Amino acid sequence: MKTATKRKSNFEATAWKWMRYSGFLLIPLVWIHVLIQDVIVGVHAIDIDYVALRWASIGWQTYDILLLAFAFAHGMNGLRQVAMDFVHTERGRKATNIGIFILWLVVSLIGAIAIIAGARPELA
Amino acid sequence: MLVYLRIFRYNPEAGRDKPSYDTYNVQADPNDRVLDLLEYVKGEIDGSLSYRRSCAHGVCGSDAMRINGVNALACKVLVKEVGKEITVEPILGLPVLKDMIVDMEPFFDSYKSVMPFMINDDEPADGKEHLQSIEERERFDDTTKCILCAACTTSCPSFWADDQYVGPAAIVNAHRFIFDSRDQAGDERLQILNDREGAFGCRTAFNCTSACPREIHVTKAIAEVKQAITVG
Amino acid sequence: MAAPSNSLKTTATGYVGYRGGEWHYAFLLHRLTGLGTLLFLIIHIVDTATVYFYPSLYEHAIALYQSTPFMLGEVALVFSVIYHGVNGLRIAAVDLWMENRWSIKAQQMGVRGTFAISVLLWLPAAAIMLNALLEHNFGIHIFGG
Repeated sequence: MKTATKRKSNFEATAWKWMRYSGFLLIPLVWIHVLIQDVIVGVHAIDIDYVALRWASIGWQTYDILLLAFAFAHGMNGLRQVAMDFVHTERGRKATNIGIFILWLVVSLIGAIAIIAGARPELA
Repeated sequence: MLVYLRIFRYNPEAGRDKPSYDTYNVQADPNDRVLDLLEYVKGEIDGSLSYRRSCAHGVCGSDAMRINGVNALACKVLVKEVGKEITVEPILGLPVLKDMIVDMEPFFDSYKSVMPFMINDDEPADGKEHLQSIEERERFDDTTKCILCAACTTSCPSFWADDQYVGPAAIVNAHRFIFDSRDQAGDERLQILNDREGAFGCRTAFNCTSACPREIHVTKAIAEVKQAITVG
Repeated sequence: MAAPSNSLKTTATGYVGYRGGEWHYAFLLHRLTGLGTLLFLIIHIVDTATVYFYPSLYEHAIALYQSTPFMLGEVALVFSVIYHGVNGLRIAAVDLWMENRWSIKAQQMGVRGTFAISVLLWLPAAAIMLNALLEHNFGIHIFGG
């Protein structure tokens, strides 16, 4: 007996690959970022002028955009996976997915706008 | 040696509708199996103690339980392997019916959902049987060893949280047919498992592999199914 | 009648009480460090974005990060980021191209190895950060005057 199975979307398979390949990229991206900002420079040496100087360079701007895009999407997909463990109804899952998607979109946009527009130390 | 035995009890029909523990001091030989201790308690102390056991030799897969916090078959664990204090509890994530007896229906429903049977509509080339080389048989040899005891599925953090997750045992049994050269429904099984409640519910925690009393490489089998889905 | 099954209670019992082996703790630590890092990341993106949206707020955010509890949290954050990365590499490696490493022995070594590597990478960073904490917040100079 052969039953016809509906072809499902590959969303979970893509998400599974995304977590692994974005993870590979995030190891150098995040570790270098943390090494510089948290360990070498340190939070006591950071102020708005420091951020302004950093984002005046197109290189660091690109770096931070990549960091934002990959780290945050990796993290939010992780959150989605944990949430799906505990939310079981179809309605609950839909609502959770929408909520996570909106949070991801809004926070990503806020971060991206700030990085691209740059710091405004003159208003501080 | 004297063993301090703690046994999970739950029996709503006899008024024990709150899970609790009975404790016993039992004289045991280090080479006794945990099942022997349960048999002693049931036979000599409290006949109302309930658990499943059939062959008692690690083949039928009916006496999976949590022994000192780890899933195992009570008939395969020796007292000397777990020490002088032994706690016996039902496997996690399936509804407890009575003492160590859980409702296995959800587990078997998941098992059935992956079509765990050979599908091949073709006439055999020689008119009699579908032949297979030794190498082709070896491809899925490991996953033929499953005895459906549910030790793996009920050791899985994904299953604890979400009982709709098909679980390691079902994926192992899907693997057994997906990689069988004689079977023709591999793609359909991969589609069934191409889901959050299928192979991608697996978070590679690895508890399943260490829980398997047949030493099946469960996590590896699941990884191979994921690979087959993402590549195919 | 079956005992009512409750997935949250079952999960808590399993997470805390299951004694499957070191990989079980690696799974828990991976979740914990991932969620912890994400929580910080959300706050971090929003507070850093104030440099454009609300520049006068940024110095207050930084002042908060310079406080002792937040600096201790930062030391924990660095461990989270290191462990989540090293352990994630182990998972991705066996998932994608080291399938013969799915044996119990190999995973035991792998899980212990990832933890050891993480601690070794973290210790020097933690030392530098704790030194900065003592220097700036308590005026204690361990290395030189």
